[in-house]
Amino acid sequence: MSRERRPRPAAAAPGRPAAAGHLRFGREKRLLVGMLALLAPLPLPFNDVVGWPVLAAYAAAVILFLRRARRDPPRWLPVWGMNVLGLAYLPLGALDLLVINRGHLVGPVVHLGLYALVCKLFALTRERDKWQAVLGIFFIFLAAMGTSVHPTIVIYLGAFLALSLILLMRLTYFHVLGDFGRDDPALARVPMRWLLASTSGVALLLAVPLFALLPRVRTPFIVGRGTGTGAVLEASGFSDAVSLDSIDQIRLSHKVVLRIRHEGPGAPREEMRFKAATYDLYRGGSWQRTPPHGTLDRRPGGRFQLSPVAPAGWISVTLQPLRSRSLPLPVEAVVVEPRMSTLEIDQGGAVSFGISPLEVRDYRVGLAVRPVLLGMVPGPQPDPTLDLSGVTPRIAALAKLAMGQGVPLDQARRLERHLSSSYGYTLDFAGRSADNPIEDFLFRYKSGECEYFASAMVLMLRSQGVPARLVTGFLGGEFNLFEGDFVLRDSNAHAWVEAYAEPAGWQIFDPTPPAGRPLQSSRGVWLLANQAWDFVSFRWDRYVLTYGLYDQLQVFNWLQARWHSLLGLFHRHGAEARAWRSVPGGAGATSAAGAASGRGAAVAALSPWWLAAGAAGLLALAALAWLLVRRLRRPATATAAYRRLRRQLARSGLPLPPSAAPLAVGAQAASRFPAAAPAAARVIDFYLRESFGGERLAPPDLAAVDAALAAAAEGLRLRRAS
Amino acid sequence: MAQVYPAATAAPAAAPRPSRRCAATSCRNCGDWRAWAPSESIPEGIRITMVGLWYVLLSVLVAVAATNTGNNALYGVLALMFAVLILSGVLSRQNVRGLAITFDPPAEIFANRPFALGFALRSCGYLLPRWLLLLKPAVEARPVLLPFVPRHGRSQGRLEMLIPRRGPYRFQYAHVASLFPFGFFRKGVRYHLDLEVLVFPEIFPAAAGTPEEPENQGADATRHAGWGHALFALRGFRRGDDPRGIHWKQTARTGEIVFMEREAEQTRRLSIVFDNAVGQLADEAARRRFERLISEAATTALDHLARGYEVELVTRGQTLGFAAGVRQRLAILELLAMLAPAPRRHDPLTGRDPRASQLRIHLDAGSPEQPAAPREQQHVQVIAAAGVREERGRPR
Repeated sequence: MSRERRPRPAAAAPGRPAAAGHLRFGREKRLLVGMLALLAPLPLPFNDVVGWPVLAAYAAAVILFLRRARRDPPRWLPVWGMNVLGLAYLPLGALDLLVINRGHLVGPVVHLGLYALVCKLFALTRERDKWQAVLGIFFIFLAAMGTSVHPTIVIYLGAFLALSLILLMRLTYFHVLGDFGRDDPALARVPMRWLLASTSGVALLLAVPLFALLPRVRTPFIVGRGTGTGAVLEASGFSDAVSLDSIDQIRLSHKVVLRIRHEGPGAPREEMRFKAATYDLYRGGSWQRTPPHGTLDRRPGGRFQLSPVAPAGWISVTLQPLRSRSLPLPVEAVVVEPRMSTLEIDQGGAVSFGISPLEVRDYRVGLAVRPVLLGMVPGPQPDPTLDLSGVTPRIAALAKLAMGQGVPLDQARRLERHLSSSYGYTLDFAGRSADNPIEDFLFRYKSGECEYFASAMVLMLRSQGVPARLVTGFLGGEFNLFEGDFVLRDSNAHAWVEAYAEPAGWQIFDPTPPAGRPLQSSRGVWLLANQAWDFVSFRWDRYVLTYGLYDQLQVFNWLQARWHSLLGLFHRHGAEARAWRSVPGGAGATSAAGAASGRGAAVAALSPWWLAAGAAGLLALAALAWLLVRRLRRPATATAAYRRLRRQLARSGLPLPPSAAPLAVGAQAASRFPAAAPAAARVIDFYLRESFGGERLAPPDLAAVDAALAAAAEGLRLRRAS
Repeated sequence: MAQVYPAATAAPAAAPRPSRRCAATSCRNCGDWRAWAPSESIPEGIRITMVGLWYVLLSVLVAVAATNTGNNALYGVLALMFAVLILSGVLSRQNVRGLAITFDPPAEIFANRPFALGFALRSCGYLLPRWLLLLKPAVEARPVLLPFVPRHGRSQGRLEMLIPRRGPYRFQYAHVASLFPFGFFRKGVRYHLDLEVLVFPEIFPAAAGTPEEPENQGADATRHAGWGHALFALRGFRRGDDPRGIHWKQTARTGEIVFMEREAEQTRRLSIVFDNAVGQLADEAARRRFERLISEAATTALDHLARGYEVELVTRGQTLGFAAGVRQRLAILELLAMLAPAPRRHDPLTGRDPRASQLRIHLDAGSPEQPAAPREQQHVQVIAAAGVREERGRPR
């Protein structure tokens, strides 16, 4: 029994009229949409929105689709099949939402979008399906863009833009050709490579001012720095509670935190110590931040005075978001201009914002010559800087031994030397217990990182009655050749000690061995590459990710200032020129008047009006020269010579209507200008051969045309002269 | 059916290659002898497509998302979308401007009959080619698609057109539209053409008015040589004469070969009497009937001219005497193309030759107002309003 074969769908046959609604140019459209679909979710795993396995599965499915689209088989997933697949995903989606992502929406929604897009791709059978697929791709693209913060996203953006433009242009071609009943894809293969390249480039360039001018009404939303959505490691060293390994975590990162530019003359300082936070209470292996003591008084000009000492120099600081309220200031800071309404200061003299800033902050700092420590003088009542939590008898005994006798300043220095010389610096803490880390550090392992050294010294000083606290901040820095700034990175994070050592008062002690201090970074090509990348990423962070309303106001102010300065240039020059004209004696006057007049003449000569007039004159001259060259140039065709002949006749008083035939022109020329008639007839003859005879004139003929035209012009000139 | 024309780069160009840049206002400097239409374009507006509408909606959506979140990445996407939108407008505008268009109509255009209109489109742009142009010579015409015109290149071809009415037809503008580059907008411009053609009346497949030939066809002498039966003259035989025409008796009598020239018979003649004194046409139906009668007259005239008849056309105010051939055909078509209703008159309208076949056409034929045909006319057929033939006389 033979089974009757069903006919193929009309859409599959190229060159054959497709049924209404079916996909025309199916192969080409599927390939275009598939390539865009392959590109769209690429940044998502980098942003931790979807996992790499999900992306790999999606990419495999899209590649399979592309291979199938390339073969262009007649059968594709029917709509009902797509709906069934959609229903089949429901339990998976629920599992994804409730179990895998535990109620977080973004991941499951993106997974659903990717799944729906793959199903839709395999069900592209109608014209509208392709637009639905493109819509899905666009939303995936939005998700990818919206969660991306890395500068390399620009490359993705450019690629997606170029591919989108190709898709739109080709789809437009296919649409129009389809409307005209032409199903031949070859008709759409018109050259547009250069157009696409230039259009993509121009669109990107055009987007820059648009991006700058689009009104911002909300604070820029920072997802985070570093990779993808970004971990918040940088906050750990400056939060309200820090463990003994928080600085260790930060120092693994090389992200730039601070950019410092010295104002005025003077060599920039090679080593700077920025104080960010102070910690007084040690509880169970972690430090508690010193509570705020109060707010600083804001002076006129937005200036906060930290100390009565007059600043000897100024620096400008750009602070990347730290995920902390801390405002890192050099230990020499006496004045700060942070463009903020309030600043808080704690008992240890660390300054902080009211809230944790989410965007880049710029501030100026006035510096004294020496460190100015702002901690409060310990009082007779129980002071947190003398809190003995964490001090064990073994620690106290060791402290007494290491500090010896003498004034507290000498004792502290001896302890600092003891710690830095007797203990080693390490970042390897594998296998260490967290029960009593300081005692383990001092008596068992005898190695640690800066927080261990500083914490141990604080506890040991307190055990001997010397007030002390832990301070975290940044030390060192490097000069960035590309930016002209000093930069401090996460790797410059450091911890040290401030102790109230009589008779000097509050002093800085850094018991960390020199090997563990984050001073000058290593030099070399790698450093240069790092700095170049910092240059790019800083500008990306500053002018793209965190670009906001205040930046827009600055742009507008800058534009306004430029406009006024331009106007002022004209007014000023005009005023100076008028002043020169009013000088008694004018240009021939002697002495001062003569000098003034000479300067005024120069001013008047360089006035923008004169410059503009000169430029206009030059342009006019250039236009005149071009016209002359055009007129004197030998005509390249007999047609051009004929046209020139007609113009010459018109100038000689023989206006001819456009409808006048060539032979009529010749006859009229012969009757009015007999002297020019033979030459004019030769020109007309060549013209007729060329235009009506379709003959391509050889160079000798063109030379003959030129000679005839010149002879005709001479004849006309003689007639005019007579 | 609308056509698609690729760029005519391979087409043989009658004119020499352009050697100089186009002038800003015309292509007369291109070296082409033909007068190109001026390239000033008049905007015809811009129409958003469904794709464009979706694009704008998506832009609004992204704008809302960017504003709501303050996410600068979304602002970047939005800026890029706006940039693409602006570029689309600029490219679209550029794409339809700077063109020089000429049309080459055929020699005869009949109402309601499709004809091929030759066109040539030159891009005067040196920077960018032109893509996806839709060209049409009139608003109601179907467009022709030009997928690609190279920089300073030319595309030529024919497009099919149909004009429904007779009379002068003016191609005032050439309309150019394009969906290029991204299909967001359909941008249209028009170019001045000022090309006027005369549309001849509609020709029917078969003439309704076909008068019978009179029985005395060929009875009258025409007084010139031909192939009739009567003797016209005797003369000496010349080379090329048909030997069958040798008059043997006279040849024998005179001793020289004498050729008998016969007289041509009277040519077959048709007089079309179209009485256009119908006054003001009351309504659209009357106008349609009038047009139909004109088409009947044209069809009959062309039919008879094609069969060798001499045809006379008599109308109120203008008469074309008996003649045959191409010139008469054109004269009759032109007259009928321009024929308009005249004020009513009651004096009869007659042909010059009462013995010729006659086709009388009047809108009110058979009505009491319309005077009857003269009795002396032998063959008179009357075509009334709907082309119904009515016998009004029989040959005596």
